[in-house]
Amino acid sequence: MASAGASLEVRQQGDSLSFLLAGRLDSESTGTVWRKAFKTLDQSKSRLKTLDATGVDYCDGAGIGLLVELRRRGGPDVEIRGLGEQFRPLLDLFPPTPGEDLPSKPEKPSIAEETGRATMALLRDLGKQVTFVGEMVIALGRAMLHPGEIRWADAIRVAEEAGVNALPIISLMGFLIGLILAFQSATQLRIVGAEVFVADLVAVSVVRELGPLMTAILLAGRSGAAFAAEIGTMKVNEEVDALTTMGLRPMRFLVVPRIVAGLLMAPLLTIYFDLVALVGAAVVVGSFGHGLLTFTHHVHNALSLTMFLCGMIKTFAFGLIIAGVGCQRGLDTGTGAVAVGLSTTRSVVAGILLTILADGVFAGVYFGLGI
Amino acid sequence: MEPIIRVENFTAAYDGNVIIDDITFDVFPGEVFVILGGSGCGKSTLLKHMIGLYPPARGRILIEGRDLAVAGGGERLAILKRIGVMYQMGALFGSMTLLENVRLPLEEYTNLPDDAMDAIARMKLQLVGLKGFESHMPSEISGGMKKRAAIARAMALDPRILFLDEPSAGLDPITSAELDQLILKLAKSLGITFVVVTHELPSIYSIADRVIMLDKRVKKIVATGRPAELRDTSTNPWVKQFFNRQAESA
Repeated sequence: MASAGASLEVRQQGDSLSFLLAGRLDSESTGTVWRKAFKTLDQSKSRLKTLDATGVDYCDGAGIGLLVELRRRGGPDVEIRGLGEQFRPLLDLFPPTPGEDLPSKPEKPSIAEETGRATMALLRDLGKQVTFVGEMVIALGRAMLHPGEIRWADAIRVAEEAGVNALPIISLMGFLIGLILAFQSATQLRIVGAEVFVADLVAVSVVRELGPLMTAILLAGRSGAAFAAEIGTMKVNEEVDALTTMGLRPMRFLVVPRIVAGLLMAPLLTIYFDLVALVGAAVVVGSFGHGLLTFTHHVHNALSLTMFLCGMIKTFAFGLIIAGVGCQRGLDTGTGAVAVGLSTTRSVVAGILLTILADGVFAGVYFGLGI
Repeated sequence: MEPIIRVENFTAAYDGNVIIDDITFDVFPGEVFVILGGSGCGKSTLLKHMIGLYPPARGRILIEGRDLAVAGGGERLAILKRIGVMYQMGALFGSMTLLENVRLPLEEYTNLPDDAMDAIARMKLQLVGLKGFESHMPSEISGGMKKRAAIARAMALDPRILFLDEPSAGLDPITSAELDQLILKLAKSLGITFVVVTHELPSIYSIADRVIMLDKRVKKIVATGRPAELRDTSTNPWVKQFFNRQAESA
C-alpha cells in the first residue's frame, strides 16, 4: 500500500509492465503513488503497457495528471483500462499526442553571454539617464524662465510631505548623532583635558559634512523612494500615458514639482538637522560641567560663513540628485507590482550612491579651492 | 438535490450602511449560477461575502453545509480548498510565471513531487487554452489570457465551486465568447459549480443555468430564473429593461 488513500501494484509480464492503481487518486494521495510509479519506470528496462484503474474509486486533476504523464512516458500505445465512466470525460480532455515532448527548460546562458547582456542593460540604462538629465535640465531651465508654469500647488504638497512630515525623524536622528558624536569625541578629548573642544569638533563636522550627508541619505530613503513608488504606480496604472495623451508633459507635471520641492527642502532640513545635532552635543558638553554660553562661544568661533555655505551648496546638489533619481526611476518602471518595488529599491540605492559620489567631488573641489 | 451553497437571510452592510438586505437563495451542484444587477447593486459585495472575505452583517452563507464566516483554522482551510476564485483583474502574482502561479496552491497544500506539480499545472493551463505560455510572466500576456490563467490557478486544487468576478468585463466579443465556452466546457466535463458575477447580456444568455437579479433600490433579489424566461415573462419593469437593454427613461 503506497498511502492510506491510493495504492500502486506493479506487475511484470515478459518485457512489459502493468500498473494496477487503486483507491483515491486526489491531490493529497497521488504524490506517493507518483513517486513510486516513476521510480519503477526509471529503474526498469521494461516498457509500460497497461494502466489498470479498475480499483480507482476517486480521481481528480492530480490523478488524471498521473495517468496522462504515465501514458506520455510509456507512449500512445499504453492502454488505460477500467477507469470509471465518471472520470473518463476528464481524461478525454487530454488526448495522447504522439511524439510530444515536454517543453525543455531554457539553457543557462554562458558567462560571456550574461556579461554581454548585463553590459548592454547598463548602457541602455545609462542612455536613459542621460536622456532624462537632458530633458530635466531643459524643463528646469524653462521653469526658471517661466516660474508661473510650475505647478506650485503640487510642489508645495510634495514639499510638505518630504519636508515638514520628515521633521520628527530628522529631529531624532540629528539629536542622536550630535549626542553620539559629542560623547565619542569627549571620551578621547577628556584624556588631555580638552573636552570643551567637543563643541568645535561637532560643529565643524556636522555643518560641513555630516548634516548635509545624513539629511540627504534620509531624504533618499524617505522621499526619493516615495517619488519612485508614486510615479511608478502611476506608470503601471497608465496614468503617465494619460498625461501624455492629454498633452501634459510628465516632465513638467510630475518631475519639476518634485525637484523644486527637493531643492527647497534639502537645505531647510539640513539647517534643522545641524541645529538639532548641536543641541545633542550641547547636552553632552553640559554634562561635563560646561555651560551653554561656553558651548555657543566655541561653536561661534569654530564656524564661519564660508563653512556654512560650503555645506549648504552641497544640499542643493543632493536635493536635485535625490528628487531627480526618484522621478527617473519612477518613470522607468515596467509593468506590475514587482516593477514598482524594483524602481523604489533602485531609486534609494542610486540616490544614496550618487549623493556620496557628489559629496566626494565637493570635498575634492573645496580642497582644491583651499576652503 | 442538496444545495452546494445556501445563502440564508443574508444582509451585507459597510459601516452600518446596508447594501444587501435579507436575501435567501440556493446554488445547486453543477449549475452555472449568475448574479446579475446594475452597477452598485452589491453583486461583487455578495461574491466577496460568499468567498469568506467579509463576514455577513446578518444571516449566514453555507458552503457544502459549512459556514466559512465562523469556521476557523483547519476547517476554514478545508472549505477554502473546495472553492476557487477568479478576480476581476486576474490577480496573478506578477513576480511568477503562469506555471508558477498555478503551481503555488499545489506547492502549499499537497505533497506531490516537483515534476507532478509541473505536469498538473501544465494540464490546467492546457485546459484553459494556454499551452505554450507556461513560462510567460503575467505582464507579457493579454487581459483575456490573464483571466484564463487566473481560472487555471483557481482550478489547481480541483475545487467543486468556482467563483468568477466579471469574467467578460473588458474583453473583446470573441475572447469573451471563448471564455464563455471555457466555462461551459469546465462545468460540463468536470462538473464544477460556477457562481458568476456579470452584467454582460450575451454572456448571461450563453452560460447561465439560473440567475438572480439584485436591485439596489430595494437591496433585494427582484427576479430568479432562467435568463430567457425572465426576459420574456417578467412583469418587473426594471428586469424587462435590463434584459432588453433599455434606458431608465425609455
